[in-house]
Amino acid sequence: MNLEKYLFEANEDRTTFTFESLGPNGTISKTIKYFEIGRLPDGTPILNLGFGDADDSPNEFNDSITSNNGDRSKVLATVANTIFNIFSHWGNAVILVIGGTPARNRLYQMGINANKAEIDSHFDILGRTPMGWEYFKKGVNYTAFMAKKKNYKIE
Amino acid sequence: MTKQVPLTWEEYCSKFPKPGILIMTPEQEAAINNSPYFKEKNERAIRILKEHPLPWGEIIWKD
Repeated sequence: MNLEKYLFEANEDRTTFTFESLGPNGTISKTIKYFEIGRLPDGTPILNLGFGDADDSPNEFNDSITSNNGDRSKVLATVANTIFNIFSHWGNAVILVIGGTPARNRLYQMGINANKAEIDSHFDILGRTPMGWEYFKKGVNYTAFMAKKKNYKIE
Repeated sequence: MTKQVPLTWEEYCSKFPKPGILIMTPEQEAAINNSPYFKEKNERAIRILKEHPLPWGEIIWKD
C-alpha cells in the first residue's frame, strides 16, 4: 500500500503507537493502543485496536479519526501501518477493529475495499454482520472487523 | 516477461516504515491503560465477541 503515512513511534512491546496529525487545525496527537483482551485456545493473542486523540488533559482521549485536519486517508494509512508492525513483532495475532460509530466503520470498510486486492494477498479479514462473523465481502455493511495473517492456521 | 513472485510475509513487511522509539513515563502508560475511553472500547469488544464468538474456539479471557 503505497499510501502517504505519518511517521510514528512505538513502545518496546509494540502495544502503544503515537503519531501527530498535521493540518489546518494544527497538530493533533494520536494514540493507537492494542489491548490484549484474551487468547484463542492455541495461545494466539486477541488484540483490540483502540484509537484516540490525546486530549488537552493528559488522561483524556477522544474518538476522532476525522479531526477535520484534512488528512483522513493519511491517518487511516498510518493506523493500517501499525497493524503490519503488530504482526511483524507479535507474529500470530488476531486484531479486532471496532469503529466507535457507524460512520467510522464505514470509513474502515472503505479503506479495506480500496486496498482489497493487496490486503487479500496477506491477510484474512472478517466482518461482523448481525448473524456473526464472515469473510469480508464488498457491498456488505459490517459493524466490526478482524484481521489475521493469511494462511496462519488456527488449530 | 518477468514473472511476479509473491512476496513472503517478511519481504512484504519490510516495505513498510519502521516506527521510532516511543518512551513513556509510567504515568503516561497508566493514563492510557486506565483511560475510561479505552476501557469502554475494550468492554465493547468483549461484549461483541461474547455475542458473536470467533470461529476458532472458545476465548480465554484475559481478566
